[in-house]
Amino acid sequence: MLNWRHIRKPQAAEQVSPAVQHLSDSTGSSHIIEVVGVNKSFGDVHVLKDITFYIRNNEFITLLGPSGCGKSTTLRILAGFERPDSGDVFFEGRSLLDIPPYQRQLNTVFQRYALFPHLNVYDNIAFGLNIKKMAKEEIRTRIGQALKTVDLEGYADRWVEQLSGGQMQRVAIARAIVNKPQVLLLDEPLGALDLKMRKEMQIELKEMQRSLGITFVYVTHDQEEALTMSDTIIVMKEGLIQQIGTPTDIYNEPRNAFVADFIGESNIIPGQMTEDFVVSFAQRSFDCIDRRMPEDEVDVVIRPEDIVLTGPNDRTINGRVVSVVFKGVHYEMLVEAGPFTWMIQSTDFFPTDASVGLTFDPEDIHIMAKSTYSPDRQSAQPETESEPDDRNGGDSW
Amino acid sequence: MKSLRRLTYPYLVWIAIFTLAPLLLVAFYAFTAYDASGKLFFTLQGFNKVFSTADTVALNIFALKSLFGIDWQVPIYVNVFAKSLEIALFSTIICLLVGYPAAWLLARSSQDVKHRGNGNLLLFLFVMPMWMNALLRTYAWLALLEPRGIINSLLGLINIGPVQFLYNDFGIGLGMVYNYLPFMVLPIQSVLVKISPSVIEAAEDLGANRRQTFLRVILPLSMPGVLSGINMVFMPAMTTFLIPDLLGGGRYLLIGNAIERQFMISRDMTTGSALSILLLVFVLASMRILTRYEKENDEGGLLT
Repeated sequence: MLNWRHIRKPQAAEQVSPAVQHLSDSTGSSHIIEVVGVNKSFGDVHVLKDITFYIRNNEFITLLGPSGCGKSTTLRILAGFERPDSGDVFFEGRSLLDIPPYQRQLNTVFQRYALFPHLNVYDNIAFGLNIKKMAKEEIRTRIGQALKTVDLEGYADRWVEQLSGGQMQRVAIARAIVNKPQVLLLDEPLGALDLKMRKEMQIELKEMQRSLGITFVYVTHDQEEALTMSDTIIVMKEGLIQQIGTPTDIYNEPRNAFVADFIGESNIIPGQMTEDFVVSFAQRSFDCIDRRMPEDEVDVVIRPEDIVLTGPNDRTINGRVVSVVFKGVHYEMLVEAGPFTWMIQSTDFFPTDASVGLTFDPEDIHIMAKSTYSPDRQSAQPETESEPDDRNGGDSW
Repeated sequence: MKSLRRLTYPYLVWIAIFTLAPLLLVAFYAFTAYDASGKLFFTLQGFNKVFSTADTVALNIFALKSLFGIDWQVPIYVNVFAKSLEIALFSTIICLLVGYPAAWLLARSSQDVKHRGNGNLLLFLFVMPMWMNALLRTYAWLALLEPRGIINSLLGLINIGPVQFLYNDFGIGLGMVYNYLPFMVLPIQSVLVKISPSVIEAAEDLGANRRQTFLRVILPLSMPGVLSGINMVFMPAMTTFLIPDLLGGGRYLLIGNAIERQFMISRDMTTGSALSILLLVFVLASMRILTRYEKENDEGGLLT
């Protein structure tokens, strides 16, 4: 399994966004945190398997994966609440392992806020500053700023139980940022909020991260949240890092079937590749922009929104529409073509039972090496999300 | 709801018969006495006797006389009151000092998912002695602490003693701590269990070391348990007569024994009732102070 984020296929690098370019250019310049070969087990469960990555100064990095993938444990190791069984964690080049949580230059926003129920909003936020024995006037100024940042001016005297979920979340964020940490750790901070609030907070958090110039390490299972906010995403599954890259990178160039499936909707089809820039699947050969893999057997990913439906002809994959669902912005259609059922997202409508042809451009074909997550070769089902909520497959990409 | 309310009637009747009526009777007896012809009359002689300066002794608490040479002559019953207060306070403080860590241990072990069985076993072992009769438990201490008892025999093997454990402050204090410790531990344990581990992590995350985390988060959050523990230990320790009666060998007078003697030996209902009323007022006043403190504690958080 590839762990280092900058290992990237050369063809991909030629056409990635400027943001990716920027990331690769600055490699090695300012890693505020480095996690090297970290393993962690709880009893018989090996939750982190040789985790290695680094975090750049001032970036918004997201640990993304389904529950139980080890992302929260990774965060708790950074915060100091768990100690790795092996491996090391460096903060500005110095090992963090023997430094207790209260001496680390990191602050955490907890999943369930973890506000102090015996203190009001002001004293909750002042907690860290009081510990540092800061002057009362300075504390007052800082708390004023922090409350302004989280848009809670006038709430200083409220009790915690008088606040809504969103307000508690803001207090938790204010309580952390008021200490001006170099790194802010956020453990699914928006998990308990409703959809609308979550969307607003996503934008606000990103804005806050930019204006404060703090490194954010964000843990979530929500792929859309990760795509919206992150500079870099680390996709995890079963204690392993599956892929590290920019949101564009992860979406357009998933490294394996798990990533392709977890980040948005995907058609994952088994294919063969015996030469560069040509791949065959669905009994046809297609031009593509990827070079040959070490092995002939590959997984082919085509995003539902990249497929264009036309009338059937001899240059298209031909099939029959078996279901149509109106999704608002587009229609989501399932098309049966030979052994595969394709998912297509299109603004054009084709009725059920219509005969259609599927076409796509060479750059929309993405080739991945086979992995343990490859779907069964016999039935390349269109994959659905593991979290069945309102996300609609990242169609904005 | 209305039909459910009827279910509370038996208990209300119970309270009326066994709490209110005796209280009223005691209050009645405290202010009345029989004259020679057997006629009831209103009197304050019970209270007068309690505060009578005819018989005074040196106030014998906190080693005032022996350590500081302070010699305050007070009425006998005032000294008994003060002595009861002293021993009850000491027992409560020791119960708190021993009980808080014990409550912490019990709370943590019952929160530990992997070893929940251990926590439950610990709690079980802790509570089990409470199922035994207090009289029996206290007799057991007699057997242990007697001059020829088990502990002194063991000490004799290494040529110590015999140590006088019984019939003094130590013996009575020990009996009280032993008997009332669970009443301190259980309320504290029940609030400690409710403190979310993530709140403690949050404190550490914000720079608080273990001591600061305890003083600024755990202790304030467990104050309701501490206060009710203090209540549950101080009140019975202040009023008990069983423990000083047994471990004090009948020679040791605390307020509970004094009242018992007035009723059972002197047959002086008036003085006994007057003492009871004074004790009741004292206990209610100290409860009031405790709850006042709790409230102030709450409001303290509101300031700034």
